[in-house]
Amino acid sequence: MGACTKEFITKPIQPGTESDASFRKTADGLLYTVNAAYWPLSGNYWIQYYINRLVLGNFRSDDAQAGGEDENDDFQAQAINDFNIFSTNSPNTDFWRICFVGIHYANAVIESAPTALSAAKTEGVARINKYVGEAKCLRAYWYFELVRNYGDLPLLLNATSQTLLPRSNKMLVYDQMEKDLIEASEALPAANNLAMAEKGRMTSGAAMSLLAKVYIYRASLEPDKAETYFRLAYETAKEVIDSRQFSLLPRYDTNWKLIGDYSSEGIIEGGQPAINNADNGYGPIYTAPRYYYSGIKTPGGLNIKGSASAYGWGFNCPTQDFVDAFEPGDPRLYWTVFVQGDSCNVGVSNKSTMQMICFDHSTTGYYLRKNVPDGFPKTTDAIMNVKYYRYSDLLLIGAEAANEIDNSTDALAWLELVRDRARNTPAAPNHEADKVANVPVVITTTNKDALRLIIQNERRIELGLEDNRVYDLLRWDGKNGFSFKSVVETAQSKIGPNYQIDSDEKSGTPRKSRIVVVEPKHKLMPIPDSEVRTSGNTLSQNEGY
Amino acid sequence: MKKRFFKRLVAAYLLMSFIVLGAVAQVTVKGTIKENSGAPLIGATVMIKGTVIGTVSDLEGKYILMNVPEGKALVVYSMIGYKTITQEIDGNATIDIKMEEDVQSLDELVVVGYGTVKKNDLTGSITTVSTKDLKNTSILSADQAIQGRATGVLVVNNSGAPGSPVSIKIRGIGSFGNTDPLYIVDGMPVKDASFGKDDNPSGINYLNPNDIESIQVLKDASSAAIYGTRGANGVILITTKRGKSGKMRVDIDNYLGVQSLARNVDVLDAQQYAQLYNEVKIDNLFDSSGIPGLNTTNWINEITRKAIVYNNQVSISGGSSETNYFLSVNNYNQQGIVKGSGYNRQSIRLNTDSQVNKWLKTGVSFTLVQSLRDRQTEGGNGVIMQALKSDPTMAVYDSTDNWSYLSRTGGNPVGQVERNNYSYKTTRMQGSIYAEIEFIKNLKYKLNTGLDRSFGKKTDFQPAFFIAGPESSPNNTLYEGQDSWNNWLMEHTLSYSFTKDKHRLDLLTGYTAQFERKESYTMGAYLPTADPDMRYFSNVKVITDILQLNGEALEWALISQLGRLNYAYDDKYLLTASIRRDGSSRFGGNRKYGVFPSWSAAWKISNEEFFKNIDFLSVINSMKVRFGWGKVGNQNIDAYAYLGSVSNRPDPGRLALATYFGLPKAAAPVYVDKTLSNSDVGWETSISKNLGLDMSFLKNKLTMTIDLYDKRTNDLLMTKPLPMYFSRLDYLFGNARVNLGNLNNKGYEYAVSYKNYESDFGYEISGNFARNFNKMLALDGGQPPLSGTTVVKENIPLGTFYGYKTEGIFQDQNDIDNHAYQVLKTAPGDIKFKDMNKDGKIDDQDQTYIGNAFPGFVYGFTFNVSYKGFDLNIFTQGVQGNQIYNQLRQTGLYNLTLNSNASADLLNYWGRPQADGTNITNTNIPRLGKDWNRNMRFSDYYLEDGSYFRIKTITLGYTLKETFVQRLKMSNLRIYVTAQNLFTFTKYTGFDPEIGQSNGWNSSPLDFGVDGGAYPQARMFMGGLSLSF
Repeated sequence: MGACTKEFITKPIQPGTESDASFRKTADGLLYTVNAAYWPLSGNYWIQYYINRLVLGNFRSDDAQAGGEDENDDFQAQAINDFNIFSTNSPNTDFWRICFVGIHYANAVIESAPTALSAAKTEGVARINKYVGEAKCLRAYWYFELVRNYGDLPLLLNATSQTLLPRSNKMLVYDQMEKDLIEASEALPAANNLAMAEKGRMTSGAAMSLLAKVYIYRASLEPDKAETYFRLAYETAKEVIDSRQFSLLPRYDTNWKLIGDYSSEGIIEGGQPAINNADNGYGPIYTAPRYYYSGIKTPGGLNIKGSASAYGWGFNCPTQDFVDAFEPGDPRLYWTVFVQGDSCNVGVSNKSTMQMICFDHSTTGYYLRKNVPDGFPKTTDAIMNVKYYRYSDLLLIGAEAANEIDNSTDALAWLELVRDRARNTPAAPNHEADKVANVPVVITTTNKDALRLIIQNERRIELGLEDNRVYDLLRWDGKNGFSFKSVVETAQSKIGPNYQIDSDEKSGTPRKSRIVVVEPKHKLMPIPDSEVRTSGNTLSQNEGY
Repeated sequence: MKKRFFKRLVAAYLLMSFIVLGAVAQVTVKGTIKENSGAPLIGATVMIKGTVIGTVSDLEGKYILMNVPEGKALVVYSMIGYKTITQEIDGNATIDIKMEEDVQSLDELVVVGYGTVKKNDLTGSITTVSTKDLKNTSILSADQAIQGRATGVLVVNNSGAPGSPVSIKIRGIGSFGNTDPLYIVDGMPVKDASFGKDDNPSGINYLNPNDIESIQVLKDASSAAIYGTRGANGVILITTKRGKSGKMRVDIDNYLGVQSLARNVDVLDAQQYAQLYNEVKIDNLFDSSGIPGLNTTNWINEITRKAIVYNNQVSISGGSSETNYFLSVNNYNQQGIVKGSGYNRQSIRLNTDSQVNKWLKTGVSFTLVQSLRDRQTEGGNGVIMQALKSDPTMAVYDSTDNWSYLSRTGGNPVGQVERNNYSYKTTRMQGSIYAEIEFIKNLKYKLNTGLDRSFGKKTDFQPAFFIAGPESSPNNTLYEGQDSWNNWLMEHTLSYSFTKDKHRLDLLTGYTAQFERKESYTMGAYLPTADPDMRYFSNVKVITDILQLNGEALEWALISQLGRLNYAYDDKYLLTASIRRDGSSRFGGNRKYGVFPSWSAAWKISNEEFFKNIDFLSVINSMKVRFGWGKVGNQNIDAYAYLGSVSNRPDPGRLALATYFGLPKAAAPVYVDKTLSNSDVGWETSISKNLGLDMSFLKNKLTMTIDLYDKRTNDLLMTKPLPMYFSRLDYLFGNARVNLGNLNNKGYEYAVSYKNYESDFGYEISGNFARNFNKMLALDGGQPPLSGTTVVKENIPLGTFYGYKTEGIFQDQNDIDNHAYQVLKTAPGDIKFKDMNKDGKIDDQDQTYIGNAFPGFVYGFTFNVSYKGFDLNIFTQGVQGNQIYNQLRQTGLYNLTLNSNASADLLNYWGRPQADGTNITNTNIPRLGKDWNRNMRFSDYYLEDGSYFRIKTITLGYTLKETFVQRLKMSNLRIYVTAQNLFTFTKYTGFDPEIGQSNGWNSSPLDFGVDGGAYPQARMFMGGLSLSF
């Protein structure tokens, strides 16, 4: 009876579910696990990596204010914009968690691979080795996201251990990233050799490009070894450039159109479905303008017939300071920022129509156009991939590193690649008048300091509101007279254009100046409070939080 | 014709099961049995003691016993509800008997787990609701029978929609998971509560309430511990009617009623809406000269109706002293007051018991129920909310007789109601059979085995439609799903009773096994047609048209050993002790088995000599104190919570996880950790103590029961957050379930009843009252499930609402400047929030505890009056001291921008220009316009007192005089009228203050008391007729 009883009350697994123990012993299981390490990149409903990355990367910079419906809308994101940051802040907590999701599944692949390999046949061995390469590249990607925000980290390299870890010195994290990326670049195919069906997976070019970025960050962290790391960054960037795995698209704006997905310019992209579904598409909604008007708008702007409808959530509003950074006539301004008079293609029903944008809710008077140049996606529309790392970023890293090691020839050549493409990008019809011949101008100076400033500004323009700005500012902070604090405080206090208030309510107030105070502690984000508590204080908190 | 058919049916049945008796006849005993009043008593049993010779009295109360062996014998006259009489005879005799009604009912048997016990001998805390309590009222569902009648049981209708499940909580909340009690119907544990909540709910509302003989609620652990891991939420035992020895009896009961919306919520009419709109918005949409002529559509009136309810019940019952039978057929139909909703149920039941021979008794309980429920959408996106918010200036239909397009508010509610075809059909078979063998006197073995099968089918069909503007669907859409449950039970019990001198001992031991499996699937697709009759999956293009396709299976099993001892000495001292050991498939390897002991004792003080000798105590007829202690478990945990698993679809309600690669882009499956293994996960344990006092006074006319209890629940099932860097994703999935923390429920219950039927004017008043105090004692780092509105914190009760406190309305800029900073654009007329932490600004740190969703006390009163043929029953119930979060108001009706219709309260908004040139300032309604200040944030502004007192039913009946009825060849004829939900006294401003637990996926007891637009309760008037032959 005893044995029979035991069997009766043992239900090994729910029919149709896989047990975790057996799943990761096959090549397919590892494929589905490495897919999970990519998964946050897709901006899925479950895991809003894209949005939280944007909050951390832009709202602390001089480029953007939080925006939204009002100052209470997503107030945790507003708090980051206000530098009113606590360790309980939710975008910060989510960001930390999401990056570790990527690390966990990358670790699961790397950890399970030896067992899977021992049982695999030849074809399986090749597959598994490739998945391990992808996993190493992804592990480095996620650690890089973390290390530049938090500094020292618990360096977790397996998926099963539950032993509490203290934070390791960030240099050890950098060492691990370099090791992973070098191994990954050896295991992975070149981007231009990737089968069409594999587009979006990590490549040797992606691993090398990330490595170049890792080196240039490290150059700022270790001033006495700066030259070494600038040289490594330069050499690695040059290797990528010479490998011709990537090339710039002929037009700047193509990057934010569907035809720009998985293009020659994309180094790391977050794949989005061909047909939009309920679990994707949150990214574009987050930054799209808040309201639009249909119907007729009279010149006075106040007698609008037809009412405003909610549209996007209107976060991530470009600052006046950012707009001012463009050379007059640079076509990239049009493709980056919505200004008064711009309209927007709205795909509400079966017909898309151009609609007036209401700037009433923008705290700066501007909205971000990247993500929505093709119109707001309908539920059945495809939405474009999220571009996390573009080739122009790598070119500018190469240029910056080259300038630092006194190689102005390569610096100017790579900078010119980026600016030439911008110059040849058409401005939109109604902005044709803005366009000025030979803008952006061809840079010829070989003065190291002057060229550094030009490259720094070029990064800001070319990669405008692509969620990397704050890390560049922090990288440059305290060097060559550059101050993160003053750059951010100045930019955030600039009042944007006080456009005619477009509102259907009989109330409304003009824009006001914002005062933010940046403290030294803000160079790092706080370790999430729950993380410190659940680890029983094994994890230490960053200074000042 | 019908009657003859039944007679034949029964005759045939009886022929099959009768044991033909040997016949050695000598003398005859006959006579007439009458009630005290002189009326003949029909169906009383007459038996010769110690033999199987017996009969029942006929329509005129006459009986005749032939074949009585010669010599001295004892004749026993008995009937339920009357005092048993024993008469000695010797030879032929004619004995006329008057039987006295037994109003004391202290000798009645109470069903306890795996047995029965005399009410007088109870040692635990058990509340009984019997047919007698319900006799003269019309109960629409089984769970309704408990509301207000069972002390200490909180019964709340989650919705007024016909056929919707209720939430039942016994002595507070002892878990964050499922808090439904265990239901046992005729010994068969019904479908598991943790398996499905939405359409095919667990619980007892599938039962035909007319079949219920009694309901026992086992409240304390000493009573429930015999149910081990399933007893922690209390146990509800239902016994259905069985035949009584005697002449065949046919009972017919029919009623017919009409229902209407009990209470409405005032919204703006067209003139008011247009006026306010123009006052607030720039675009002056409404031409002011045209406003007086606007036609108003009251959308709630358009989607509701007067609805019919009816019930037809026929039952036949009877039996000999060897075999009895009960057969019933029922048809119940209730239209919903919201158009397109309704519920109907057909059921058949057959219960039999046969004394096959001296040592073998066997019986069957079988029921087949079929129900169909049509639903409309409820809650925030439901049609009721939609109707309240819809534009009152628009007509229902446009000039082409199509649904008009509501350009401002969208979604024509009448169109929604008319298009919606959501139905759920169930077929349920439940049967059990038992055999009881008496080996030697009082040593009995019983085998009880049963099967509960349920099949449900969901159909959600939306035909193609067209409304001007964006609202149209060119295709039919169909979702269909099926689920099936299979639940079987096998129980072996052995019992022995022993009486010697003043000692009485009952022993019970048993071995039981139960297994349950659920399978379900749902699919949905666009149908490539606009033909509204095309309601089947055909011509579906597999890739592009399929909207949903998923299925699952779950199973669990339980094996148990149990034992119980009852000992009584001298009818003064009683002791009960029980133990159960459960082995469950749901728990981890280290906690597969649990042992649940209990004991209780009682002292019948009134049976002590000294008590009888004290004069002033003579007014007390009986007095008993009880004390019990026990340990019970709650196994309501996911069936596979202890296992580590990975899944492509951790949440069946959402899409399969995917990331996208390649050109063209293709979905690549993503598998994540769904559950993490934990071999230590087990049941929640609750340990409770109960102290009770039962007394009766004044010749047992006045009875009362008081109970005090203290229940502590340990090992609550929660997730314990580990650092996120281990990738414990969050509460959605990937967290291991652990047993942590503890909470406490304590309280008292009081029930009192006074009956007097000594004269023609009989009456009875009974009332009950219960108060529960809940407190979260320790979380131990555990993470309870998140709730949108209430918080779980140590040292506060569960169900505590958490939000801002308000302090009125800002009157001017000065007022704003002197108050803590709210937002940049705060203006006069905005709501003032309280700065709880006094830091000079209002932010989320200022949220605090602002109310509780659970009532402080729950009560019910019943009044029964009878005079000659008339009977009047008034049943009232209520709750006191809880708050309701009026989300209807917060997210719907206090729409300050007037983008949709709003509550009539808004007419009085702050700053509204008056005819005399002044503006309204003395108001609690904020200014209208864009809500920069977030006046809508969750605050005590939207909490309302949820106390209510309700006259739930009033029934007036008249039973025709026997003489008249007998001329019609009937034994009884009663006509009655009933009003339900006649009056509700409450301050609550929504449709109804009875707000339960939202019923969605993942519904938790922490989401209680939120009125998000639930289906309103109906007021009902009905008339009925019951007759017996």
